[in-house]
Amino acid sequence: MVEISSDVIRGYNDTIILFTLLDEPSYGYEISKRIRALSNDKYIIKETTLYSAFTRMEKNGYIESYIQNAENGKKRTYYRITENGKKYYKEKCEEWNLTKEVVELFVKKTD
Amino acid sequence: MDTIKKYLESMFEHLPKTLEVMRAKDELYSMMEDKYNELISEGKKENEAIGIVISEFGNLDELAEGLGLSKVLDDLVSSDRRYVSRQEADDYVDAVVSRRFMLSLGILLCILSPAGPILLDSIATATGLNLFTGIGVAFLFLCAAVGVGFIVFSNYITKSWSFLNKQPCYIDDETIDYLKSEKEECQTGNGMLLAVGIMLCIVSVIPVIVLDAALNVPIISDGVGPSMMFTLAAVGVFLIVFSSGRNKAYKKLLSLNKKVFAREILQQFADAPDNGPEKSVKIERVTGEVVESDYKDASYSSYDKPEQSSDSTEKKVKNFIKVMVKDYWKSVLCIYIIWSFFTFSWGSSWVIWPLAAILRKPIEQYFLGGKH
Repeated sequence: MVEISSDVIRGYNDTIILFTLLDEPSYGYEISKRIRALSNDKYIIKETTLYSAFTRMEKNGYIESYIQNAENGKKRTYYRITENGKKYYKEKCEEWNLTKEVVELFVKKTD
Repeated sequence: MDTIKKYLESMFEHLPKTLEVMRAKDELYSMMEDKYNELISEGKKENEAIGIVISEFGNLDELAEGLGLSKVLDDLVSSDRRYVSRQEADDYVDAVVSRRFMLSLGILLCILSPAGPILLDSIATATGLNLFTGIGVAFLFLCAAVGVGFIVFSNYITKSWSFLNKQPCYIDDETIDYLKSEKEECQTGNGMLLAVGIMLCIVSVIPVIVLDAALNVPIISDGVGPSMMFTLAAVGVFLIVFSSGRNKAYKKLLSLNKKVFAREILQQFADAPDNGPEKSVKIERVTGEVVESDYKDASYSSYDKPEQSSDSTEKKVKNFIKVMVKDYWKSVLCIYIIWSFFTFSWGSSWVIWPLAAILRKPIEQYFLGGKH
């Protein structure tokens, strides 16, 4: 079975995570669940990958974190996208479109 | 859920317990807990759920990279720790070594100084030229003066490094490894210097005894013999004092990371999340050495003993002794010169130097309360 190239996807983890935050703030597990659902179970992001992306993006000012009590009373760290983060997301989208365009030129249709 | 907790604990076992790492652990645990609960509510068996959670956890290398654990010391306690680079560490070692050299040389000259009048006096007696006595005395004072100058000046060589004592500093892992290997490397050489130094001090009396017994010539037994004793003792003490300098510098640098200042601990309590204190007091270094946070550090300068309140003159004497011990070599020099000039027992007073070198540690420990 074919799997996603971890090398390629690594460069777009930030983009993927930022996408899930575009509409509303969210927390760790919910984000990973959404990524899984949106990718039709094809991409399951690892907890460590997710967390290191959080810390990196927070440092870069793309997201902000805050603590909030969830419905069940559990304390959770929520992440919210910043203006910088939106800008970065747009740039990454453009970058991907170009990358995709170029790589596509060299990919033979398998069927 | 216990299995997951244990798994996470074991993953984090070897990481330094910084606030950032603790936060990562809490956050990861929270995510795993959420996932586990959802899997269970979907009807998965406990073992199955645990298997999925652990297999989807990822690996810690990735995390370490994201947390910047390679430069974890940045976040060790508080960010205002001053970074000491490898180059600086090298420079510091060089400075300490030259300071030690200066000090040793000063001591050497002080011990050597009486050799001049002794030798030249005997020459004067033998030849009948009083000029030699004059030269001898001049030699004594010149030597002592230059020696004292060196001892006093040696203090200033490391002046610019005094921040190492006053400010929290740290070195990175690479420098630690480097210093450790350097320290190991110089161990044998220094041991040798020390051994030869002690040997010279012991054998310094031999020329006097042998020359006195073998030749009954005044110029030899009264002049050459005793002056040789001083020369040998001077070189011996020089080697003893000089030998420990380099090692001391390495020790000091290697202890930088372990030195926790009281105000930093307080800072940590302020920074720590509500469940934090017990985690944050104990700071574990990447090398795995457990560092004891030492509250005493804060008050080491106030030498307080229970009977302190009893008498103010007693306190003054104590303070005086403390200052003396702090400027150890200068104090020894003072005692040496006073003793020598008052008793004119130059022949034996030099013993103070090797004695001082040996007794330095216990004396400092006793009076400064184990600060080192």
